[in-house]
Amino acid sequence: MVFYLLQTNIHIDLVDRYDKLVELVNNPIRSGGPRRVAKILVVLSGIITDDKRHLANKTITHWQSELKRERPDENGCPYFAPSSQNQKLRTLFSALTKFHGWHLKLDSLKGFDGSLAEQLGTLYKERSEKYVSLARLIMMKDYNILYTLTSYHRAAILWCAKEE
Amino acid sequence: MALIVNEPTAVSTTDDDFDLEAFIHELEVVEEESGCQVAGAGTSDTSSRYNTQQKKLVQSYVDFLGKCRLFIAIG
Repeated sequence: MVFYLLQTNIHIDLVDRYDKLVELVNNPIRSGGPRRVAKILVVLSGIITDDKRHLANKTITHWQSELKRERPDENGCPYFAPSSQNQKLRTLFSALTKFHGWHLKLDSLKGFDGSLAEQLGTLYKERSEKYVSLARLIMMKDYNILYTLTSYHRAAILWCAKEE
Repeated sequence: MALIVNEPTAVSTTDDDFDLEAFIHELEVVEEESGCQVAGAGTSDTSSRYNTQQKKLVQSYVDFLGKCRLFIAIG
């Protein structure tokens, strides 16, 4: 119960903070976008600062980690494939750059502890292990999964391939 | 308890010493003092259209944060 309350308090704190970011404000960008936009789209536009990078990293990571398909796929996986999710991120950043004046790029959110790239990498690995069989990944030529295996398993796969 | 099921979990977004309130306040001051800076950051490429997929994703991002707002009303 204490744990539950603690979690709830943490969450309410988080909610309270995000609340201030979705208020509608006038859109200062005059390029065919909406006249009023969520505050976060405006505050994260313009010249990149560490604070902006930090806030973008935090909110986008949070959103991306929760993003799910409308229906689970045939393996029961509720998440998008990493390639789809990465494509969505690129599309998002393209729109934020073109229509909301963001200078932050996807590349701005990698290469540091807790970065979007690092956290998504961890999530993708966990999801692959949970929902996708090794055989299927190899069949689909998604060899990145090999990096997550032990040297013993990699050696076993190589041995099987040679035997074939 | 049922309400908790739909709560977005705060995975890997633990707070450090970042002060959002102060940050937003600072930005507001900067915006007031030099409003053209943010406006000037926009693209001059007005021929590009804001397509459906782009709108959907930006909306999804904002809606996610907005959903968090909903939960404080419940909680």
